Order: sequence, then structure tokens, then C-alpha cells
Amino acid sequence: MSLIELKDVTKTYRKGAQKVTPLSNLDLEVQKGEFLALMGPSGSGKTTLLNLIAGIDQATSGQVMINGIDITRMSRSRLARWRAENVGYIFQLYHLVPVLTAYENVELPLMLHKLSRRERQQRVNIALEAVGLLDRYDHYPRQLSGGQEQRVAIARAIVTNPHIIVADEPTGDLDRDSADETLKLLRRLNRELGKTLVMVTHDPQAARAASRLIHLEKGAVVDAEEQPHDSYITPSPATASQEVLA
Amino acid sequence: MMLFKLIHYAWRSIMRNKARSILTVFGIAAAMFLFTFIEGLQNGVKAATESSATQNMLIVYQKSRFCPATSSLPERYADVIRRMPEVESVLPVKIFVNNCRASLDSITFKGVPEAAVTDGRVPMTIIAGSAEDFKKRTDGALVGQRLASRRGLKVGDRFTVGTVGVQVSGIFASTVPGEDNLAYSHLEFLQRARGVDSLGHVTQFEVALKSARDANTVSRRIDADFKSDEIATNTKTHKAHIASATGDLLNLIRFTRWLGLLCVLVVLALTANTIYVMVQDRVREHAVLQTLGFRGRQLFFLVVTESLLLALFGGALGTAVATALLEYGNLGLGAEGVQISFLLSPIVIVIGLAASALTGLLAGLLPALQAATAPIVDSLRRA
Repeated sequence: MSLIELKDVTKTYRKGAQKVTPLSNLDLEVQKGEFLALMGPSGSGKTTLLNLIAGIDQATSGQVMINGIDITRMSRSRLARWRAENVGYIFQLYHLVPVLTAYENVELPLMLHKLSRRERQQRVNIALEAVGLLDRYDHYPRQLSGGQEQRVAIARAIVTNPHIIVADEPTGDLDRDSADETLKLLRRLNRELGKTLVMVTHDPQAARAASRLIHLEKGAVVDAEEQPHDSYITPSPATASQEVLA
Repeated sequence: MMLFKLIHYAWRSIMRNKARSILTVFGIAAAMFLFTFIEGLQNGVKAATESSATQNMLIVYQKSRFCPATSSLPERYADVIRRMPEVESVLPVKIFVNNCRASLDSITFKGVPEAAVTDGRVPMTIIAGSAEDFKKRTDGALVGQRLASRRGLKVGDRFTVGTVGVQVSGIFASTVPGEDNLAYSHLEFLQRARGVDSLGHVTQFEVALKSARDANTVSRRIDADFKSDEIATNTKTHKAHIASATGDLLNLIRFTRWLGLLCVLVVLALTANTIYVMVQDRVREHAVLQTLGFRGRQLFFLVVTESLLLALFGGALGTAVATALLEYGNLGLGAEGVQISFLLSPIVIVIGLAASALTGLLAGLLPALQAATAPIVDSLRRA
């Protein structure tokens, strides 16, 4: 069974008097452990598709099945709980809370889980260690570079050990070096921890990090290609991060 | 844990724009200061008119006279009144005031027979100096502790008000509201201070009844007895006398109460505006929190907590300053010789803080609702 399965999904909304349909009768399956990249011109519906998979937007019609559960039928409150347990979201502009330290930002999603202080501490430390920023735990976002902020955001996305990680142009606001670092990290999450990733990108180099690439245009899939990707489902030797986050 | 963390987060959010938060807290503090101050005055008026110590007391005054300087009754009336079976005791009082009109710094001297300060007719506890010294000195005065504090007086000091100069023989505390804001001197001393024509005349009689139930009967009888005498009287209960003497003030105080409530409304608008702006500034941040899995009610709690914290800090600051001023500023309001002390009771402080909390809660409701129900995707796009 696919981890993510979209069946005949259409999304429409009103923009003034105009009716906009960013996605139309779309079908898509994503396997567990897959790293999917979504590309396409602006307005092609890729971010809308990502938001539907992440459960922060709801389809007008059709089904969005995640791990066998149709999330289109969930109430707002239930969907929030579902997101807390199943999805890690990485934004283009990081969106860290400026008044909280790196540690506190990563700890935020854990506030929604019943964990002891010790368990939270352990998880946050491992997530920060996984992104190589444990030594910056007490830094505020303003004290970090863009690349470091994005790595903290990735730590925040993985700290709850979600089934799916979605990333909306995660390298869009970074210089080449930081972008490469971020992509390496995402590949590691996919390869070593077996995380399922769905990433929207405009950057062909970023898209090459994925195991599958889908092109969208006018709300429909126009092209899909498997990419040479040797071992995204092959786990490497276990590490502390794997034990807690995998 | 969640609750504590959200409060911690709310506190950090307030501190992210310190200037705005501090200005809001000061605005709330100023309004709550005024609110508490007015409540303190209301409380003082209430205490002065409803004191159990004066429930069975009548005040006999010259008819159609309203200022102590113009009321002059023959001292011999005391013997007539004392013979009435319902009467417990009669205290002839000569009053001297430096200002007959409403004033925040009026000083009232009450001249009484020297025995009255020890036989219980004047309820007081001497906390410095002695009644013996008062009895020995014709110009001795027993000064209420609030007046002493206001004027920086201590035992042995001399002080003069208008044509009356006295020496402080003692300082007293009183359970009767307002009494600790005046000074007692010898009756004859005060009569002489007004000239020899005043000897044998007093301003009023304070008549203690055996039972408060007889107040109306005895009042009517006193006024009837002296109707055709040298000077006609007007007898009222202590409560009615205070209300009459401070009538204009009471109207003003009632009006200021509306001002106090208006202040609370202004604070409500001010806090709501601040919280609304704070929420507008953080539309995207709230959307991010929702993306992480925070539910609407948790965002609602977060925003309301920020509003509550601001209001409570402002309320506590304003109430604390008002309390300090009323407690240590020794303010007293006087009119026609009647002294009203500003009184702060724990209930006034609790009302002040509760009003702050309620204001914070109400001010945060709409912005919190907005934060809790905003669509995530629109909010992420908007900012």
C-alpha cells in the first residue's frame, strides 16, 4: 500500500469573482521511503498539492489518503492533531519563532505530545545533533545564518519522528553552499532514516536529490521520471538519530 | 507542561516589542490607578456614613446653618438633651476649620470638654504622648495619626492654623472613619480663640443614644424643645449629617465613579488595540504553529494569555501605586468640618485586579478568535 495516495483530487477556490482551480482530477501515489520532487511553473499547483498532503489545506473533491486514512474528512481540530503526529513541514523562509532559541523552536512540536521533560530534551538534542547544530542550541534565529536557520527548521520537522516530511522550496532562499548542505541533509533523512519526503522546488539541482521527479502544469501531472538513486531505501548502519527518529 | 510552556511563550511574545508592551502597561496602570483611587474615595465615604460606631449618634446643629463657623448653639442645651431618657451621653463640640469648603488639606479642630477624651465619649486610642499632658495644657491638642503624618507632627510640636495655635500633647488612632484626620483641643480654648462672645456657645452636640431605633423620635423632640428657644436646632443622624455636609462632594464622587468606569473602557480599547496589532504582526507565526499541529484553542489561549499578562501587570502596577499613595500619602477630604479618609480595603485591591483581568480577557477575545480561526494557507501567503 502507498503511504500517500491522492485519488481524483480537485482543489478550487475563489479569488474575488474568479474561480481558480490549481489542481484538477489529480491522481498520485507516493511509496513509503520515497523522496519525491515536484516541479513546475508558478501556478501549476505544486504548493497546493504539497499543502493537501501536509493537511494544512483541504481538497474540494477527491480523496487524500495518508497511511490508509482519508484526511479530507477530518475536522479542523482532528486534522491539527494528525499533523502533529504525522507531518514535518519545512518552509522556504524557515519560519522559526524569533523570540525562541534554536532549542525551544525544535521543542515546539513536542509540546503537543505527552513526553517527559527528559524525553523532550533527548529528542531535541538528537534532532539538533542530526542537523549539526547542537552547539547552537541557545542561539536565537537572528544569531544564525540562513543555512543554519533552515537546518534548525529541519530539526523541528523531524523531532516528532513524523511519517512524512514536506518541504516547500527548502533551498529557495539559500546560497549555493547552504542549499547543498540542506539537500545533503534531506537526502540523509531519506536514505539513513527512511523518511518519506515530498519537496517542491524550482531548482533542477535540488530536484536531482530526489528519487522521483514529477512535473506539474495547470494542476495536472505532465511528466514523471524516476531518477538514478542508488540506495534511498537502503538503511546505513544505525546511529543514535536513527534509533530515536527512524 | 503545555500550559506552562504556552505562558512562557506568551511572555516572550510580549517582550519581543518591549516599547509597545511597556507603553500599554503604563496606559493600563494609569487607568487602574485612577479606578483604585476613586474606589478608595467611595470606600471612605461609605465607611464615614455607615460606620457602626456612629449608628446611634445624632448631631444637633443650628437650624439653617451649614458651616461650622456659623452654627452657634447655647452650651446649656446639653443639660436639656441629657435629661431625655433615651439619651446615653451628650458631647458639646466647638469646631474650628481652616477651610469651610471642600478641600484635600482642610484641618478640623474639635473642642471638647477634657473629660470626654478619657470617659469614652470620644473613642480614641492614644498611641503617642498622653491624655494627662492634654489635661494639663490649656493649649494642648490630641492629633489624629493621619493628620499628624500629613503635617509631620510629633508630640511636643507647636502648630498654628489660622488664629488657633496649639501644642501636640498626644497622637491618637480612632476606629471612627475620618476622626484620625482631625485634632481635639479643649472646648474653652477653642471658644476663646473665637472671641469671648463665643464662651458658652458650641457648634454642635453629638448625642449618643441608648438605641439607634430612637433616633427619629429623639431628633424630633430635640428640635421641638428648642423651636422657640434662643436658637432653633436641626437634629440629624450622624449618617444624614455627613451626607448633608458632603452632599456636593458625594455628587462629585458619584460622577468620578463614572470617570473610573470610563477609564476601564479606555483601557479595554487600548489593550484590545495592542493585542490586535500584535496578532496582525504574527499572522504567519500563528499559521506556522497551526502547521506544526497547534490547535485553534491553543492559539486562542496563547493570545488571551498575552492580553491577560499585559492587563495584570498594568493593573498590579496601577493598584500598587494607588495603594501606596492612599496608604502613605495620608490624604483626606474635608468639607464643612467633616473629614473623609480615603480607605483602601483588600476588597478594593481585589476589585482593581479583577477589573484588570476582566479587561485583559475581554480585550484579548476577538484577536484570539481571529488567530484561532484564520485559515493556515491564506495566513502563510498573506504575510
